[in-house]
Amino acid sequence: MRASQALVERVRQVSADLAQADLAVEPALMQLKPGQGLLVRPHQQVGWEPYLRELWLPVDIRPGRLTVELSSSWLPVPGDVLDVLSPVGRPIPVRPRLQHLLLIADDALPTPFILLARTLSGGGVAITLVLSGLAARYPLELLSPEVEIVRGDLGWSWPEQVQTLQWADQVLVLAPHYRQAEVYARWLDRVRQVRPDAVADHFICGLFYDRLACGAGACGACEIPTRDRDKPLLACTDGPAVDLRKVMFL
Amino acid sequence: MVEITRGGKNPLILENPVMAAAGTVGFDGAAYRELLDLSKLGALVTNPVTWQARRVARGTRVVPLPAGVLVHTGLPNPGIRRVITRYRERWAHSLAPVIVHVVATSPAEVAQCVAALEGCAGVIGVEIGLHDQATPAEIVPLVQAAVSHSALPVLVRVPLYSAVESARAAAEAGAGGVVVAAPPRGTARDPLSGQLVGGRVYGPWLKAQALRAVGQVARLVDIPVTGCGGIHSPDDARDFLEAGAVAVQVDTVTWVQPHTLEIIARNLGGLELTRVAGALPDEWQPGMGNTKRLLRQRRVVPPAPPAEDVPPAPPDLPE
Repeated sequence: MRASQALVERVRQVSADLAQADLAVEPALMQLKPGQGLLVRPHQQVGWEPYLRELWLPVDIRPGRLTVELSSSWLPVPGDVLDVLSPVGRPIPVRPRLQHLLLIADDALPTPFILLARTLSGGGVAITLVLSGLAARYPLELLSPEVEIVRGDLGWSWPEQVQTLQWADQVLVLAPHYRQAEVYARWLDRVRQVRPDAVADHFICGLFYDRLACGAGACGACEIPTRDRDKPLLACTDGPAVDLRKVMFL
Repeated sequence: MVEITRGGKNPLILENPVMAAAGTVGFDGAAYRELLDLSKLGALVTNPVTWQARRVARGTRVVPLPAGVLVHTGLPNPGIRRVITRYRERWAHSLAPVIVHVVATSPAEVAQCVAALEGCAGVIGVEIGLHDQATPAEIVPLVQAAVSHSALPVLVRVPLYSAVESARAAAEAGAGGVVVAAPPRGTARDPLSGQLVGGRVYGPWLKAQALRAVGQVARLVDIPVTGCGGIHSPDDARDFLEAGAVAVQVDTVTWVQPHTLEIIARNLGGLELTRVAGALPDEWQPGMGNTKRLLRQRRVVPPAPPAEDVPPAPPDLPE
């Protein structure tokens, strides 16, 4: 993890509760991969409110410019200088020879999927994104046109769900931090029922974007209990994507 | 050089009075290796360790507060033996000396933990973390267990709201020094889940309460005091030294602005230009302020320690 600064060049409101900001960043930040984020606080901040750094996730990376999507408590304005710690987390692992990717955003904005979908769809991977609950409010015009959108209901179902699960080479699920155990355990069960043959590593991963205290692997607040007691994982340094078969759902 | 435990066979002496507090930099400081120079610290205190492994707490663990944060981790750790196996080599080569924070679960477990740490290169002391409701009667056997089973110097981190009583009990039981204080507990509503969450609270606003507790303990208990709580700048840390602490521990500002920990350590360690030796608190150079002149003219008198801070003596019980 490194400390750097970023300059806010442009901020646009893309929906009632979502904004995007273009940041001028140093070259090292251009190497961020889908899944990785930045811990940010205003450089000129007076006082200690907000206190913790916020985790911002890139949705687009172009030479010299990083676009992040924000639903944060504070919005920057153009000209703001930001203190940045990065990278937070590891790239989302993509299975070899991936052809069909299923993304499920269950009651959480699909921001963590956007850069991944943009990157993979350019490489010919067929992507289906299921939006349910809060995720259904996400503005669809922000998604790549190649991504197939399916609206799920609160009962975690959608038309032809079984076929979709059978079709996928990899499944990534996203849920809000306070429902991760419930949602991820249920999706793991469902995938095991439909795809008992799917035993490859990272076939079904959950994305653990907890609210981070340190973000550096020091405090232990984002620990993910695993079946192997000797190898607990930290969302900030080992995540965000974790193979759900390794997770101990407490 | 600063002695943070009382003299004796094995006093704990640091080159710098600034430490990283327990739970803020991990078990070995590696998380901040690229963000700050650990060699500038007097010591780092590890994340809390217990005899048995502990899992992380369920549910929401971090809740933002106005100018602060509530954290409830459940003190996850793999147990002292696995911690030693995993970190022994790193402690031996650590840039900062290591103090291991042992959670005071029971006297027997504390004794086993400190005994297990014997011979770990790089470990210079043990810090015993008391729970918030610990009474003096409970504290004494816990501290005695640590002191009697280890040759390492023993610090005791006392709860904020019973700092004097707890520090007295720790001193009587043979602790080398006390850390004042552990962050207090609080409850806050998680804005995302809507649930009430309990945990320890941190933030710069804590400094005023911690500073008062440090002043009380330093006056009333004859044992070196390390100040901790709400330190977010070199001036905050100096306030603790002025209140009677011999050293300080810096906590959550390291998460927010990691380099601030190094700045405080450099400042108090004499690696920056600070107040010249011999200067009074209102001067940068000896003689430039007016305190000495006013004292000479008897226009000011040195302040007396406030009496209201002294807890009343316990009443004599009838026979």
